Amino acid sequence: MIQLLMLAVTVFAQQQEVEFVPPQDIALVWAKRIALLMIVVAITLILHTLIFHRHRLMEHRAKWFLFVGICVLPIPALFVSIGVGLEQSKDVTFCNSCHTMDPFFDDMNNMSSPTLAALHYRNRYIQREHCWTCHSDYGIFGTAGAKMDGLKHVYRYTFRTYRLPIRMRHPYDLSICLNCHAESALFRRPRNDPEAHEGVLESVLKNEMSCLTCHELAHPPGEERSGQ
Amino acid sequence: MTETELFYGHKRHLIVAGVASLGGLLTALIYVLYSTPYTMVLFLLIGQLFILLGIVIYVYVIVRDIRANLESVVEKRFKQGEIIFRQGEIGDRVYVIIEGEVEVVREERDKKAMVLARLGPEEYFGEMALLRNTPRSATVRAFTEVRTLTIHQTHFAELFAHVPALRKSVESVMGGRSRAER
Repeated sequence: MIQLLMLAVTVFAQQQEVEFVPPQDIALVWAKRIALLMIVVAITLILHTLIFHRHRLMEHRAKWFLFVGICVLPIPALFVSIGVGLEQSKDVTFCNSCHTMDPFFDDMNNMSSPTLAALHYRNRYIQREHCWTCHSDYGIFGTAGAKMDGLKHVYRYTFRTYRLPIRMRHPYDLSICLNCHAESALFRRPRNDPEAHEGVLESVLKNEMSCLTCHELAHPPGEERSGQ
Repeated sequence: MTETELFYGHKRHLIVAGVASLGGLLTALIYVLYSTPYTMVLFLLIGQLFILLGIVIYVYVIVRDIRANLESVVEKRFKQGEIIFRQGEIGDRVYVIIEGEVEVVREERDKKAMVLARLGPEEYFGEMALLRNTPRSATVRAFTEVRTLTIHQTHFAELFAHVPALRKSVESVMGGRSRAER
């Protein structure tokens, strides 16, 4: 009997997969906790007052409870929630929650896909916020612009006002690629052909050539993507 | 009856503010816990508006409270024949007549308006709607040119609660009027 129990425990333990959880942004975790705390306290105060003080709503105590629940806590909670939500929307899972993104997400997870997006994602060249890193410009107006664009996308997706196939609205800004690659040793002296990038950086900066002159698109059209 | 029951007008506003705020906060809670495009749109388009609506209504109640306290006792004059308040309206003031006379008129559907009473100096009217937490039970119009002192429900409630002689007098007058109405 004991042996049987031991066997069951062993099988159960083997079934429990140990999953790697990447370290989270501490600021985001705390902002989320603070937002949740403020929201829950505000909801509790309002409910408590409306239920238990319903006959005495005009008394000072009830008014103070409602003041804190309706005016004091919701204002910071509103701003923190918007911030937390926008930060969480940088995550790949958020982008993939729109079904129009499924082909891109499938390609990125395809171990045999040769596309640039898949290579970057598979090898974790970017540690987190994979979509966001390549699809937002640098500087405060770049990230703010990307968030505004993201909000428009969310609106269009929710109200189904988008058209397929999805296209880039404007040429891709190569400075986003260069921000990581320009100063890397592998870019300056590629392993296979150390002279391949000779003078490339200058030409790209002068707009005389593009990364795409030699490299494939990060997200090629469907028929050129692996597994499509 | 407690004095707080006199404030039924504001009470509704506070309930609406509370419910609106609750709705907005719930969408915020869902958005923070499960960020998806749908919860994002729900919170950013609807939730925020509900939270702001709650704040606006609450501030409105507070401003009205402050104004009512500032203008608690006000002298008001009415010309002959002028309607002071109508039957069915929500009341927030008691009127004490200083000069002139008023007529208390009961209006009923398909019936001729009936004069219930004529009140003169040192008499008051408008207290029933506040104390019974009901709309005005009759229309009051100026029979002659009238000068009144009006007391807002906030201060009337305090006087009613803390001045026993006034309470006794008001209750006896109300009893008489109730019998007259029947």
